[in-house]
Amino acid sequence: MRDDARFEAVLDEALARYVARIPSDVDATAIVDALDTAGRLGRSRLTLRDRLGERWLGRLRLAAAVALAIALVALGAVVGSRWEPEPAPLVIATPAGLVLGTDTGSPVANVAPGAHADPRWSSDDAWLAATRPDGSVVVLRPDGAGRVEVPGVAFAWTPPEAPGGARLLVRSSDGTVALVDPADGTTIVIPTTITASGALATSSSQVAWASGAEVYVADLTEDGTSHARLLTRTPRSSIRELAFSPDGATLAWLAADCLGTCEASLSTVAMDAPPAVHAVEERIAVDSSLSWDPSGSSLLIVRTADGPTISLVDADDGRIVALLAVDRLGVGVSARPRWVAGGTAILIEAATTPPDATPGERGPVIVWRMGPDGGGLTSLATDTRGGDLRVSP
Amino acid sequence: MALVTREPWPGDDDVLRLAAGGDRDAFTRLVALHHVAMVRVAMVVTADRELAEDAAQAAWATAWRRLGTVRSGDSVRSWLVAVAANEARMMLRARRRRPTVRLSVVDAGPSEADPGDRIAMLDLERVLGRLDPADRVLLGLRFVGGLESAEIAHHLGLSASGVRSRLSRLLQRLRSELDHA
Repeated sequence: MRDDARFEAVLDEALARYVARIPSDVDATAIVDALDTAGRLGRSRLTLRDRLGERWLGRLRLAAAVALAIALVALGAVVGSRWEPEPAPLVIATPAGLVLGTDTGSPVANVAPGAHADPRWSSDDAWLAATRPDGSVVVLRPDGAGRVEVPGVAFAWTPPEAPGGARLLVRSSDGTVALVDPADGTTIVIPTTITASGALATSSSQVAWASGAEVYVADLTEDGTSHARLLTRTPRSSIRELAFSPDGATLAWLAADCLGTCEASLSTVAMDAPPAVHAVEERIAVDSSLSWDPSGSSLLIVRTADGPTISLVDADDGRIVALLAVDRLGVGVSARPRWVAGGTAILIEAATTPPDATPGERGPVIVWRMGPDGGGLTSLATDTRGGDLRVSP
Repeated sequence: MALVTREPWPGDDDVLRLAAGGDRDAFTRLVALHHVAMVRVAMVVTADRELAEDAAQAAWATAWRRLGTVRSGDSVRSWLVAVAANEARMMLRARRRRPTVRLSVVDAGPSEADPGDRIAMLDLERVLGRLDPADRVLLGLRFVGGLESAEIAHHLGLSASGVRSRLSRLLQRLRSELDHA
C-alpha cells in the first residue's frame, strides 16, 4: 500500500514535470479575441439537456422509457426494442434477451437479444455478464456496448479492490478456470492440474473453486494468480455452492449427497487455519444458493427442517432466523435467495423443478424481491432464467 | 497616508454568473485563471503540445456556449478541465482516423535538464502513448487536473467506484510498464 502511494507521488511529480513545458503565463485577452475572430463566441439557446444536465436528462429518459415499456407490456408486446438506458438496477434473463429494468421490475431495455442465463452485475456495476447455452460467458456494458464472449459455463466477479480490478473468474466446460478482463476479453488461465467441476467464489485476495468434493484456492495477483492449492476436502460427494465472507476471512460451502434422497449441509473454514472445518447446519435444500449477509455474520440459505424455508443461519453457532416459507412462492418450487448488494433487500429466484431434472437443474424462474426481514414480498419478473438486482442509483 | 480602496475581485460564482450572462471581461478572467490547467490536462491526453492548445481553445468555445449549465457550487475549474480533456480526446480520435505520424513527438525539456530526467520523460511519454485515450483522460484529470474520483465520475458520467477501479488498474499497469521501460 505504501509502495502504491509512493508510486502515485512519483507519477504525480513526473506528470507535473511533463506538463511544465506548457508556460504558466497566458494572454487571456488574445485567446478570447481569437475565439471572437473565428466566430466561436456565438451563444446558442440552452437546450433541455443543458438545463437539466446529463444525469437528470437520463432519469427523465428512464421515466419516459418505463412509461413506454409499461404501455407496451399492457398491449402484450414483447420487450425487444433497444433504448439508451442509464445503468438500471435490475437485469433479468428473459426469453427475448437480457433486459434491464427498474428496481420494481418494469422493463426498460433489451441490451442483448437471445438466450442467456444467470446474469450478474460486476462488483463495480460497470459490466454485466451472463452465460449462454452454447457454453460461453457474455460480458457487456449496461448499454450493450463492449460485448465480449469467452468460453465458460459458470462465472463469478472479483471485487473492484482485488488486484487487477473487477474481473471474471470463469469455469469452462473442460474444467479450466481462468480470469477474464471484461474490457477486452484477455484471459489468464489459472495454472492447475485440477479439473474444476462445481461452484466458484472470489474475494479481494483469493479465488476458489470446487472439484468434486474438494475445494481449491489460489491467491490473486495483478498478473493472474498463484498456483492453485487444495484447501479442504468434504465427506459429501459434491460441493454445490461456495462463498467467501465479505472480508474474505471465511469460506462457506454447501455440499450434498444424492443417494436415493438428497441431503446437503453447510460448512465453513477459516482461510488462515484450514483444514479445520466448522459444520454449521445439516438440513439444507440441495438446490439452495448461499449468500453472506453484508456484515459477514450470517448466511442466507434454504433450510428443509420444517418445510423449505428461506433462513438466515448464524455462521458461528448455527442459530436460525426463518424469513419465508418457500411454499408462499408456489407449489413444487425451489428457491435460491441472495442478498442484494448493500444488504437492502433479498432477491429470490424461484423455479419449478422439472420432473426429470438432474440435481440442481431448474425450469423457468420467477424473480422475487423481499425485505431484509422477510416482509414486502413482490414479484419482479416471470419466465426468466435468473436475474440480478443492485442498489438503486 | 491616503486610504486606497480597490474593487475586490468577484468570487468564482460571481465570475461564472457574469460570464454565463455574456460578460466578456468575466469570461476573459476565467480564461486567465484556468487556461493553463486546461492545456496541461489536454497535453496528458494528446501527448502533443499543439493539439493540446487546440483542444483548450475548442474547450473555451464550448464553455462560452455552455457556461449557463454549470451549477452554483460546482467547481468551474473541474468542469473546464473535464471539457478540455474531452475535446482533447475527440481531437486525438479525429487525428487517428487520418493517416498521421506517431503520436508523441515532444521535446524532452530544456537541454540543461539532467540526462536521467530526460530518459524518464521519454519513458513516461512512450508509456502514455500506449494508453487508451480514455485512460489518459482519467490520468490527466486525476493527477494534473487534481480532480477527485467523484468529480471525475460526475463529469464523465461514470460511477465513483468505477473510476476508482479503473484508476487502480491503470496505475498498476503504468507501474509495471515504467518498471520495465
